[in-house]
Amino acid sequence: MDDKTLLALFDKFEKSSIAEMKYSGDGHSFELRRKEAFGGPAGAHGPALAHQAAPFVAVSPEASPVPVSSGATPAPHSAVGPDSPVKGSGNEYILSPIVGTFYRAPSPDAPAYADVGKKISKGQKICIIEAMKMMNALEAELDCEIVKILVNNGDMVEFEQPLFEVRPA
Amino acid sequence: MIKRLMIANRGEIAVRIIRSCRELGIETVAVYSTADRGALHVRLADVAVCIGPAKPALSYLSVPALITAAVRTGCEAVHPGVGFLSENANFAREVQKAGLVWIGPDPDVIDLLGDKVTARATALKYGLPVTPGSPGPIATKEEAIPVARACGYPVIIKAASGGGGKGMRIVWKDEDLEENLAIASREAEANFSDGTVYIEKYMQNPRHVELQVIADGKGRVAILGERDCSVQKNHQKLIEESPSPGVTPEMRERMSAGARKLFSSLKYRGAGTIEFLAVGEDFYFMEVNARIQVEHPVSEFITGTDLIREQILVCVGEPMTIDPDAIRLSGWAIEARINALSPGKVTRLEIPGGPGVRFDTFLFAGAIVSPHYDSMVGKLIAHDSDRPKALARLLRALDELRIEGVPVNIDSQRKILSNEIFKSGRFGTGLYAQLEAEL
Repeated sequence: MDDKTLLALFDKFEKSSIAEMKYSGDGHSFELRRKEAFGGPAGAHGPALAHQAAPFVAVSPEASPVPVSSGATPAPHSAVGPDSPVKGSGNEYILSPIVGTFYRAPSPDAPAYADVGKKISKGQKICIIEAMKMMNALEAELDCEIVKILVNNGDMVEFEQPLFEVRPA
Repeated sequence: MIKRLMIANRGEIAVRIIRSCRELGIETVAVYSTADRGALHVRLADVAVCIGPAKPALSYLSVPALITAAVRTGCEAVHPGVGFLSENANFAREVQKAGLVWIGPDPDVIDLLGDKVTARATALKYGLPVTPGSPGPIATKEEAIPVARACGYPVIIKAASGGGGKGMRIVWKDEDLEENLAIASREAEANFSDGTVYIEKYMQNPRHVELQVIADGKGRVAILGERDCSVQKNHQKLIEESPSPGVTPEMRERMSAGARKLFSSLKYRGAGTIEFLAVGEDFYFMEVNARIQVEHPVSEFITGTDLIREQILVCVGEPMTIDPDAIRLSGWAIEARINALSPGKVTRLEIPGGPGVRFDTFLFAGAIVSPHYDSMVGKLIAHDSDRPKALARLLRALDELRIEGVPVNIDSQRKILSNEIFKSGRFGTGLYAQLEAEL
């Protein structure tokens, strides 16, 4: 789907009475939700309502539905941070397969597996996610170049949280 | 007092726990699967962590994911809720190993109560009757006859390795024992590769009665009355009430005395339930559920207690705010479980109100009822001074409850509650099967 079609679709959605729609195909997937789709008791907590600014659009290369996280106190995690995946660049995102702690290198003094600009081959280790003292090495699923690292070393990451923005080779 | 607690659960119970925590000034961390993004517990908690995909084995049942989420969000305690890992001693141990407080009894106590044979022996030791039956396997008619006569007919032959009704035969007289022993044993062999069978007294239409317990881990035990959960469909509770229409003050006293000794000697900590089958004035120990239960609100109504709050307090080492010697049961409370008949999205929700009415749910207009999880979407509870009034109130509230977009069991619950047998209070666990054709 090209940008024009996408924008036309957004426009149609906004004018329609549809509360929520999902799309996946030709390597893209996204969900559109109007604030009615979130419904629920109003005014539960401030930050939770931030997610209800409609229409909510989230786009990622793989089917990664709208992450919703509420927080009256600042959440240590942020599924959608300032570096939220944005459509348009043709880039893809590598998501965390588990909950855990993100490490860029196998040990504190070792060099990082993947720096920005580095070319990575499919199957190459790109980071470690530690859960319950088990070090799980994450391997790239495609040949690519690292465009951006979306998480700080030592941060907690959620399931399906975007870790790297990459440009497919 | 702890500052932050993680709830290793979802749905209505997670919402319920968040509410008590907020009142106690404890911050909450919710966990959720990708199917529960936007769920009410996620929105109400202070912090929420996505722990895995929809499939429970990879999210709500994933010990590493849960422990990691709790540790990395700075929690001091983990509340397991009901179902999922709430009675999993291994999970409780992992929680403690990670330096966190487990909101429940010691893992060793969970193990002990989870083993049916040990639990029965322990109950007997503290004077609680267990279902009469053969002490071991029965192979011949000669062994069977004295046992059956001692139990009193009817008796039931059960497969030692069995479950789900396979290898079970009900026998009413001596002459039928030999043939049924052979059939039960063959059935057991065919289903479980173990032909061993034993004999127990068969309870005809017993009541399911359970006592609510809160204990502080140091031997202080509060018994907060009983609940009657006899309305069940395939062992799934549908309607619960407190007190039980079939329990006399004398029975309650005998049950409580045994339960008090049992929980006290186990140094039980937290909320727990001890279940009995009751026939007339007799009752027999079934099992202990080492956790809070879905139907706890009926006990909260008649005792004026927040059981989740008391459960958390005793588990984090704070004194309970109830006096075990001054518990007063007041009035009557009845709960109807609201179950989804198929998954879907709620398009409209109207919640009943008025005096003595409570609706615990995770629904809101727009909420998704996922096919991956339990079908219970809410519990409607009514309280008044006696059973007829509480029943009228619950029926009134059921009429006010409107859920659109997801089909629910409101109609069949209304029919059960309006049924003359239910109204009479004289029924047992066979009631649902008896009424099923009309529902």
